Amino acid sequence: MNRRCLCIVVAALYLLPAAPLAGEAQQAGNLRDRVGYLSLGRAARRRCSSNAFVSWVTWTART
Amino acid sequence: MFVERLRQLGYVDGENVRIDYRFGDGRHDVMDTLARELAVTRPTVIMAVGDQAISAAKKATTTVPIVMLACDALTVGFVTSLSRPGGNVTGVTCVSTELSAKRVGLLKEILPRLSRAGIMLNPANASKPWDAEQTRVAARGVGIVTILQEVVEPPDIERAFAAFVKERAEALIVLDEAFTILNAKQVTDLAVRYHLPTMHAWGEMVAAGGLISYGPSLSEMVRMSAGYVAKILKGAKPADLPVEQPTTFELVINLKTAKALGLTIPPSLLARADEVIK
Repeated sequence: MNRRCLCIVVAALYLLPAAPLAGEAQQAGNLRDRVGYLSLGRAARRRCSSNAFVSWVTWTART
Repeated sequence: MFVERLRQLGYVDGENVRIDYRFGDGRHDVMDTLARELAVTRPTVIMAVGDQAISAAKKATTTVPIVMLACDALTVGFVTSLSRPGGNVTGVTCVSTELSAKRVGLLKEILPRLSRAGIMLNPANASKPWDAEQTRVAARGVGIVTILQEVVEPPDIERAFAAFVKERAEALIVLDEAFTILNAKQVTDLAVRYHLPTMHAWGEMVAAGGLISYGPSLSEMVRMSAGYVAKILKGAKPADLPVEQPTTFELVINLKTAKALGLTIPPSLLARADEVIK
């Protein structure tokens, strides 16, 4: 791989993760209303959602 | 549950509303910081679940509307009136006074000769010292001496059980809240190991191995809270929204735990249970 190719690969590696983030930021900017959700509990792990008691958030949010 | 109810009310996370979550992961000391983080982003409304979250949110902002899911909002002082909350806080609360007596009565039905009971509480939760006092008074009324033990960190749980055993407690009333629910397995396992039948506030604790619970339906309270959030998103002011109380109460009994403890649950009590875990 010559130096030019290497530069392109490195640039792509930097840009790829940035693309979806930029998309998310744009989408978030379009959302007029925001809800803050505060709990002493623990964030849910989606894989564990079948066990309703695994996380405190089942109490609260995402079940 | 919360997200689902919001969706039913027309608010879909990521589509027409964004929900920013902050979880303390059981650490009381981070709640104020998390609340400030949320408040500085100026959300339309903050949903605060549990007394620690409500206290932190109230400290963080006096202008952003706060919807609370509380244990005893009036006693703790989150609002000064249920019908006219005023300020920036409204939401759902239960009233622990009546529930304390009911729980003691139910425990006495299972253990008619009960004379000494432990009370486990987390004093960092603003409503629990009051709840403990109500429970103590109710217990004394039916001839039960109570032993109070405070738990704030996980190692406190084992220490509390050692104290209950030393004080010859015959049963345990756990004043459930975030800390006990986060440590439910440890609490219920130790209760069985030390042969202490437990009374809880939430059915989730009984599902984790506690003996019996009586309290409001959490799912109903969460659904009600989501309703407040939706109203505020539509433009309502929190001061104009009276605080509501849950209307559904659930009695849950774990027969596996009863068997492990060698207890027979009276048929009359089983017949009244909303859920029996076999």
